[in-house]
Amino acid sequence: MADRIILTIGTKKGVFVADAAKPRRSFALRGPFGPGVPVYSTLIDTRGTPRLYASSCNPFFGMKVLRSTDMGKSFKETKSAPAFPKDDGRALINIWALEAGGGKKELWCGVEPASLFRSHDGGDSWDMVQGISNHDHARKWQPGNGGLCMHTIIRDGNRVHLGISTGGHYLSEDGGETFRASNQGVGAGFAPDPYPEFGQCVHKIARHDDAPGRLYMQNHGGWADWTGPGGPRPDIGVLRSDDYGRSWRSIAKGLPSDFGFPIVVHPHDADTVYVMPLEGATRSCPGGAPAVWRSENGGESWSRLARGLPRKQSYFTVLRDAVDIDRLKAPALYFGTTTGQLWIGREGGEQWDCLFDSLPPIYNVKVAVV
Amino acid sequence: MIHFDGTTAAEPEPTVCNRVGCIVPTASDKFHTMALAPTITIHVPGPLRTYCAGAARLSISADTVRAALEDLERSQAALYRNVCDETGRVRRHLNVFVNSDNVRDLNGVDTTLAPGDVVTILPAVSGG
Repeated sequence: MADRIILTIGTKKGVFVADAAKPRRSFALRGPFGPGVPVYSTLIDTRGTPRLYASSCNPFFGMKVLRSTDMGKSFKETKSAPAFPKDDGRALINIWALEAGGGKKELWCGVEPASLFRSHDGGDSWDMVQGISNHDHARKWQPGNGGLCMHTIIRDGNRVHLGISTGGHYLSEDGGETFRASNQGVGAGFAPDPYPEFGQCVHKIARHDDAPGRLYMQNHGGWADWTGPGGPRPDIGVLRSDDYGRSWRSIAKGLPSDFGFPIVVHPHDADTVYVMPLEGATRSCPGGAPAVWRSENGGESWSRLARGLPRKQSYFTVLRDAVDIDRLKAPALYFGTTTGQLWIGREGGEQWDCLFDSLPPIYNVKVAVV
Repeated sequence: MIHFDGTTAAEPEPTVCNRVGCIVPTASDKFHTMALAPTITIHVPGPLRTYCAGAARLSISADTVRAALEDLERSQAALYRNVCDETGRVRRHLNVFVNSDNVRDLNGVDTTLAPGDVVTILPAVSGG
């Protein structure tokens, strides 16, 4: 079968699936799947026969994990969803991250309140990862505006990077047994200490296989004008690490705002990274003119990509997991908006087109070539 | 009579008797006449029936709402997880009624039950 591009789109009212042949001229949409409730995380698992996963945040009946084994033509609940032990005292509020683990069936899941779960059977049963879920810091983390969520899980051999809002970046170097806060150089704008050990509002972290040790982070920026204790914190929003996340430095110079949610790396070039700067107050693009910004030199400089996007009067937000990039030779970017638009940025973001104009508010976009 | 979830009394609604762990019509369950705790009925909302073999009503013996939920935890674990969170609290956006009264206005989950009471689980009004 010829390669197809498949998109999972997590929205306020369920998960949609879209697919297209390789030229990506037009996408066929199906869904929504699930009981019409928010879907904050999806996963296109390409290990073996592709499987699609989606979280399902039912405000009435609790969390579910949905799974599709027919490329998104139908979804069924897995046998169970992550759940805290009865004597833990915490109750699951949302599922923010689903990632493939080792082997063919291992899954990792980041949840709210910030904790990590692991499944060894494709999502039918789940165990809490104690090393971070019961970390000494865990009961001290505070919820951000979106809740106290573990939204980023990056596996790199025996290293595991976690992003927690608001908890910061946590690093394991023993396969997830133990974790330590690893936030040197990561600023916080909402505490008197501008560089605390932990508690930063990390928004998203990304890495590339070809650049060992390098990570990019979109942190909660927008604190350049702060005049309170600790003084202003310019450019703390977009960061880079070259030592496996042990220390971080700003790469925000040249961006119109250091606030934003998503950050993604080009699939074939570790120096090319994309962000979507937003105004801190409104969470919309500066001047009401949406644009993705690209650096092709690891964050030393940035250029604006907006051809085809609205030039004015657009005030949507693009959330942390609502941007992805496919792995074709000339990859396309995709982003979903809180106003229900799904955009494709062809040729690495050079030319933008709106694929779908009236979906529910979009929380999550994932793409894969299958 | 129309139930809160839109079904009518005339519709056949399978009843599950949890006390014997299988589907048994309540009227023919001799165990109920010997039970110390009163026999009550739990009305299951439509979206949750998939978690209890399609049953619209569950017949159990319990002297409080708490005891009824504990019974569900043992006998209908999948259904229970939809009604109560991991800490054992009734989920925030669900309401539990004993007959026509919200337990919130009675004694919460410690509300006592009498023979023939109907415990109804309903999603709270929401939307916008």
